[in-house]
Amino acid sequence: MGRRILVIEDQEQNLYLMKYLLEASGYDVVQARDGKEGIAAARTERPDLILLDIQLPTMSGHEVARALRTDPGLSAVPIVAVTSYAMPGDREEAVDAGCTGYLEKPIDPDTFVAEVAGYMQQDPRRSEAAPAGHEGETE
Amino acid sequence: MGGSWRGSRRSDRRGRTVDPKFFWLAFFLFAFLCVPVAAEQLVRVGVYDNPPKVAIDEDGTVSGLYPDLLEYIAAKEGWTLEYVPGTWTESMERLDRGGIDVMVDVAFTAPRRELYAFNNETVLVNWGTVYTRPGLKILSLPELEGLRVTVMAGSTHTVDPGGIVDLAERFNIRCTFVEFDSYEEVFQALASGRADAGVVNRVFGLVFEAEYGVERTPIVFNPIELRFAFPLDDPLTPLLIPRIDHRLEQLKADPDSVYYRALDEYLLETPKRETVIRWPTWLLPGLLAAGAIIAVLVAAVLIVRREVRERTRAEEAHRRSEERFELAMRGANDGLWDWNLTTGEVYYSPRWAQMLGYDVDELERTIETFHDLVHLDDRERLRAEEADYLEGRTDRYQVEFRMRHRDGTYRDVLSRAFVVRGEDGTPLRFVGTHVDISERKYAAQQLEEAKEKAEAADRLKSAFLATMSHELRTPLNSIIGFTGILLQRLAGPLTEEQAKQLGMVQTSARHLLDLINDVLDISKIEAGQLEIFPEPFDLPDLIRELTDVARPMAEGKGLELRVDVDPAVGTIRSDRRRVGQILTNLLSNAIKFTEAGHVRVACTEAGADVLLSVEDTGIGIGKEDLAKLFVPFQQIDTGLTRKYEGTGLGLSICKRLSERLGGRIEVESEPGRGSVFTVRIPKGS
Repeated sequence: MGRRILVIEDQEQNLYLMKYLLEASGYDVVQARDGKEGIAAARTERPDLILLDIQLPTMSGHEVARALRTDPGLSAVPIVAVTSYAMPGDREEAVDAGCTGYLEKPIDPDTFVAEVAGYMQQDPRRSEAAPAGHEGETE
Repeated sequence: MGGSWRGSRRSDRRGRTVDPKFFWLAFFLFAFLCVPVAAEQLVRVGVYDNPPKVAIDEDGTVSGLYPDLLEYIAAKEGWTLEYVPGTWTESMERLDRGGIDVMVDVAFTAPRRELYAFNNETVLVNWGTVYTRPGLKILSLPELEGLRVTVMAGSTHTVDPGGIVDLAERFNIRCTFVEFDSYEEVFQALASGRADAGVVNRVFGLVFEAEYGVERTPIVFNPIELRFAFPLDDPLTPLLIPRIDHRLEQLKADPDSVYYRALDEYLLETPKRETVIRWPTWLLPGLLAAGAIIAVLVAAVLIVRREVRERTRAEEAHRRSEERFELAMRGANDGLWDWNLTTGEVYYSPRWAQMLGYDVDELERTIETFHDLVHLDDRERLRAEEADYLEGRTDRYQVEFRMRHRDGTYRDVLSRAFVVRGEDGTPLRFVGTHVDISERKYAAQQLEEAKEKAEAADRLKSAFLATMSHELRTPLNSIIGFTGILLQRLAGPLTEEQAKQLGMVQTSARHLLDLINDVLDISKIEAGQLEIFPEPFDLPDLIRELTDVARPMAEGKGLELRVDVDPAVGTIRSDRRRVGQILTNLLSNAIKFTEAGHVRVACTEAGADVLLSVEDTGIGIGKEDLAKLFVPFQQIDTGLTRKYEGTGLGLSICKRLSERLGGRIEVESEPGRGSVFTVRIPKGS
């Protein structure tokens, strides 16, 4: 398939797990361990989808999502938040911040790749899903 | 006169030896001489009808406690008494304008002290007491609102500051006062139902309440000291006062005296004794007829016998009368204090003292007694409250403070009081009550502490569960993730045993995850942190989606999974995720507890709600277990736990979630036949 996925995740085992599962299904995985690195990678690598951990050091996933959405070149890329079920409000906030959707941790290895693929196919609808307000901020 | 007789005997003895015959002769000469000499001092006594303290018969005979006392004193002092009967008002006018030398039974109050002279020894302490007509029960002053209240005209309990009219005004109570000339008329009006409530003094009330069948209320007020009153500028007044005080002092010191006998006789309900000792009528003819020495001896023997008998009865009766009064006060459970701001003297009631473990006689009648017993930390505040109120900076006095009990412990006391002011506004008396609120306070404090502890423990529990479940999730992510990778043979081929064992790891890890999720849900729900995000969604869609997920599990057990959704059901507005959680829970329970038959999911409309039900043909639930079905961690019959895996939290979560969504969950079940769980959820706007 050769499609490129950027995984922004600080936790080594999770990063390895997602990378392994995605690569096993033929995806090209680019990894980043914090928000700043992730934004930089997104700009240079131009991924087809971004998997974004919400609990990141220094810069939260929500901030990263907002930053990504302000980049006109990235405004159309699906961003899937990987949220913790334990934190109330995380998912809703992720969508507010401009994420296309969310996956819950712990990820289910049996369904993970299929779910990610599902979001990638939502491409045509994505621009509607992204809140206009966030895009408007930069204009 | 008696005093001078004793003096003359002593000087005779000192002078030379006297023949006993001369001594007795001298004695009788003196005794006969005394009568005409004393008769010259006429004392006019104002009396009014206020039994049992003083009563006037239809034929004009005067009796009662005051006449008995005065007659005794008069006999001792050699006075002749002339009773001048009248109403209270008439008598007080005579005291003003002349016509009497002494008036009995006058309340020693500040305004009256300006008008009359008073002796120092108090004869009686009395209170105003509110009575009601038979059948009417009232417990507090404000209940007099709108009632007809009978009072005695001019009585201290009526007109004086601290009297009922004043109290009613002070507490803003509107009632109609009807005035009579005597307490008897007050009680008659109550007994006949012509009035609702009436005020009498407690002495009159205790003696006559039974006779009239009126109801005594716990409302007592205006503690007063009753004394003798004299015209201010009458030349006789300075002569009478010291003699009356001297005699009263003597009488009060002697428990056998006429004073205590009169108290017992007149203030008790016991039938009046016929045999009242009358010295002059009994002793004199005896002396004249039979000769002095024998008569005196006989008299002495008789008197001693009689005295002993009387004394025993009197003491018993006196004790009973005091007990009864104490009881009446305790009914109100209030201690009374009455601070005379002019003299500095403070009256404390027996209950006031008893509240702190003292006998009232042990206490100095000063305000220091009170203040010294107040907890050091409360004293300054109390004094400030007193000053603020007395100086008019606050219009209400109600203070709580601690007082030291004799046993060393502290009691919480609620004090309410009011000030009685003179016409120029000077505070004259400060009168208040004490209620022991220690137990009330202690109970409230215990309750508050227990509540705080429970809440703290609850917060700790919720925080702990939230943190733990989050922390447990991170390692589970790896366990579930990598067993999944291995089982998918992504990392390479597996032997059959390896696959089987890794499968067990995966199952256990997933169960552990369910458990953690359930615990987290419960803790969030109980901590009130569970947020609901309502959104419109297609309910039949959700049902299809979830039944599709559950179908393999059902079919794996050989169960039929039916889905019947009413076509009328469409989009509802609720929390999709939570509705899904409820249905998943019910579905997995139904499949888990059913060995043969079917599981049926049905959905219908019911007005503004939708009914979502899951029916099974499983083991069912016994009546006794239905109640604990929705209680957390209660999986019915521990024996089942092994057979049916589960957290025991599923149904309690379903119940709470349903309620959180504005609906409810119900169950019908029969052991061996199956169960139907029905969730009712509002469709939302």
